[in-house]
Amino acid sequence: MEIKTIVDAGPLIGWLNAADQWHEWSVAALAARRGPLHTTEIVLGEACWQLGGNTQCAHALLDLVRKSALVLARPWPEHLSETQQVMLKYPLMDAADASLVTLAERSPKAVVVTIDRRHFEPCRGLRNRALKLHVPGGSSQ
Amino acid sequence: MKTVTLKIPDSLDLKIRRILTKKKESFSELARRALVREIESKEVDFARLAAPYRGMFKGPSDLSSREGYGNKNHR
Repeated sequence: MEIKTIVDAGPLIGWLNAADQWHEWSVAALAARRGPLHTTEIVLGEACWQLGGNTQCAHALLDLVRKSALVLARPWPEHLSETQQVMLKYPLMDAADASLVTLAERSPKAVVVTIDRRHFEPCRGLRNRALKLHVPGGSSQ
Repeated sequence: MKTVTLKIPDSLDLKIRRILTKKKESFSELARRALVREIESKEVDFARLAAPYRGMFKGPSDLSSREGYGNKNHR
């Protein structure tokens, strides 16, 4: 399956949380994407953790995985060394951020939807190419 | 493009002809549009499937922009 959209934890949480400062943006950004969204297991875990662990909201995300609306791409362990190289090159990025960079570099047509401009905008991956980003205040790809 | 043959009841044919006359379009255009709409409605789409969960709770306003897993590099 061709990956068109890669999503970070922030917009997923923003979709669910009506009181979130990025709720409207997250809804608009994700509603504009066609088809399923792709993410990684570590990002899904991060989102579930932020949503309080074993909560209705975390189960909502898991339901979306079960329905294939949210697809777990698995860049690890095959491309784990690339993720680690991204983390070494960009010390502000954690393993979850870097897993999305690895996924984006392996899916050059994909747009990464994230609220995290600070970590993703300066990132040029391992190939020194800007990622296709959809971020607040940025252009939508 | 592929050519397909479609069998339809007379009553449906009558309705289609009326629409085609009104809209001044061909049967093929109308059929293609209807088929695309039907297929798209069956495709997996995040926004459609996640719609029931949109705004399902009210949490902290900064929840979506918090660091994950206790990252020390706070925004």
